[in-house]
Amino acid sequence: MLKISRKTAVALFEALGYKTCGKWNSAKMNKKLAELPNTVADGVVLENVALNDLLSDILASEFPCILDVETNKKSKCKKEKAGLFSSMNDNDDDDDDDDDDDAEEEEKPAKKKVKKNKKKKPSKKNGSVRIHLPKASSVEEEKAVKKEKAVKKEKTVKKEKTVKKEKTVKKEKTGRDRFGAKLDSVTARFNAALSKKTKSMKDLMAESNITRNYTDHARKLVERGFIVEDEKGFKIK
Amino acid sequence: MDNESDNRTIEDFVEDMVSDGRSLFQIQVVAVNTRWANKLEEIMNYSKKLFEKLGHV
Repeated sequence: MLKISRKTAVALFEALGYKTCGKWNSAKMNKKLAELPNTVADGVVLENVALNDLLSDILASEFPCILDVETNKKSKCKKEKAGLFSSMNDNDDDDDDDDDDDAEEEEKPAKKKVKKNKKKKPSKKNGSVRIHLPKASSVEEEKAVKKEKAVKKEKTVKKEKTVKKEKTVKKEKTGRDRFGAKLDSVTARFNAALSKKTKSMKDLMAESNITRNYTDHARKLVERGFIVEDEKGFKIK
Repeated sequence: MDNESDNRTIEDFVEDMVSDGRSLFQIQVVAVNTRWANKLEEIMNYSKKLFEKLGHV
């Protein structure tokens, strides 16, 4: 399962043309991330290479990726510099938009407190920072899953290519006669009956075993310059 | 979807529609038949831009 920091997710959506992504809460962001494979067309290339790689990872992953709240480096660094640990409750996930602002707002009074009571240590009751460190095994698993997906993709692409090739070959097999009519069609039969000798429409219909009058078709051939119309009938130039 | 909240902007509306998998035509139809009808032109412009970025045009 892919975990993405809010900053990168916002950057990705901005690159994809979403204007309001900065305002989304984490629930909405997660929803949009999950819907991303359905909304982005194949072959979309972003200018930013890193974002492009991330997008391709998201599109390739079977599981929807999740916004990783815990890897918000900015707020962490600030808090660490201040020597304080802020609480990161799970319930606050929806208010991630204002994380940075809140962190800054919280820091100001916190710094004052530090100045007043320098000996005070950060209380553990306020909560501890949960740092997400991927386990080695999980990383290996992810790599293996990625490899499998890549292999599957290649296979499907190859299959599609072969199917397309077969289709084109089939198309080529169904040829056309000298006037462009499909072989084995009624029109082709009529065209075959045409010769350098002038033949009336009745004769042509009888020769080609057609009951319908093909005068319109013959006139079209005349317009295209393949045959000539006489008083008696039609003949090839 | 379009009546979820009244605070939504045109961009919110379009992005939600696109995420739902709606086509340009479907967005137009929804917009015409809802309170967004008077902002149809802006909606269509933003929709086209977004679809272009997402590789659908």
